[in-house]
Amino acid sequence: MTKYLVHVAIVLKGSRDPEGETIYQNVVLSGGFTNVSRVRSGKYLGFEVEAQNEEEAVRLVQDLCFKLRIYNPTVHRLIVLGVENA
Amino acid sequence: MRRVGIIKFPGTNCDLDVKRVVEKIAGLEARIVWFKRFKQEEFDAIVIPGGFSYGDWLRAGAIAARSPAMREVERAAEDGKPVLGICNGFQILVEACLLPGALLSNDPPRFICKWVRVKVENVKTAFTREYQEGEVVSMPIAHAEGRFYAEGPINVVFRYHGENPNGSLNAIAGVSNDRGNVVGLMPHPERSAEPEITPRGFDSGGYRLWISLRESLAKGW
Repeated sequence: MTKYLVHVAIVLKGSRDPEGETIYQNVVLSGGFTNVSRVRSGKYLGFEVEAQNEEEAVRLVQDLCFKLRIYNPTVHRLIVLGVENA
Repeated sequence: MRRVGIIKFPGTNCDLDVKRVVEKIAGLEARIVWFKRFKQEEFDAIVIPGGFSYGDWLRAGAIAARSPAMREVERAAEDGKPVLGICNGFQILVEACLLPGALLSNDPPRFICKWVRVKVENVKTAFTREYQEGEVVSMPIAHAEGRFYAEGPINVVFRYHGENPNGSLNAIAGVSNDRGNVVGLMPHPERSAEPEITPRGFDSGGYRLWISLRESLAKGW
């Protein structure tokens, strides 16, 4: 068994994202970066898990995030950002 | 005497206000119980008060929703006992899947603390039987994550009237389950049950919610 660090983000699916919109309007656009078309906000979590391989580590984290309702599937999507040896 | 259980999570801060109105307005016995000691069979009805359980970490209500106390609440709800979630209590009920949808960050994104008017859309619940359908009453709101969102049919109980302060879907302020024994709302009926603390221009719109609870426990609903 190896120890892995799985990085995930919880982001809104379709509904309004006022935090992202505020950062976009008042920081990014007003800062002159007009080639950016949208900013999305979300929540980051990192899980250190023991698993046989990277795929199993990711599956384990996805499964627990769904079962324990770490994200609300009505409004959120879980994005696996990456996995590395911990 | 009928007994109402008020669950206190770490960060709950409206428990004493709820105890006061349950005793003074509804004339029922009220007991504040630390969440680790909460047993549903000791109570005829349950209130989950407002506050900031677990500092709103992860999402407002998300951590409290996973506690064994909420499995107790689930059992009480299945038994048909009246269950009320106010503000953070509403968020906990939603995160525990006892009520549908989600409560997202307000739009515009800020904490709002003000008196609002809400329309009573459904009087066939354990907590609204003493209202008239369609009447408009006053209650204060105080939250940052109150933007209700859901997919599919929703049992709307309260709707913001005249304005939509937090960007909720269809201005929804409170909902119930299909049986009407589980109700959650963002406004605070415990802060609007007495004329002495009701500001000029508003009415004590929460008063009859507590009378409804008393009547529901006396007669069933």
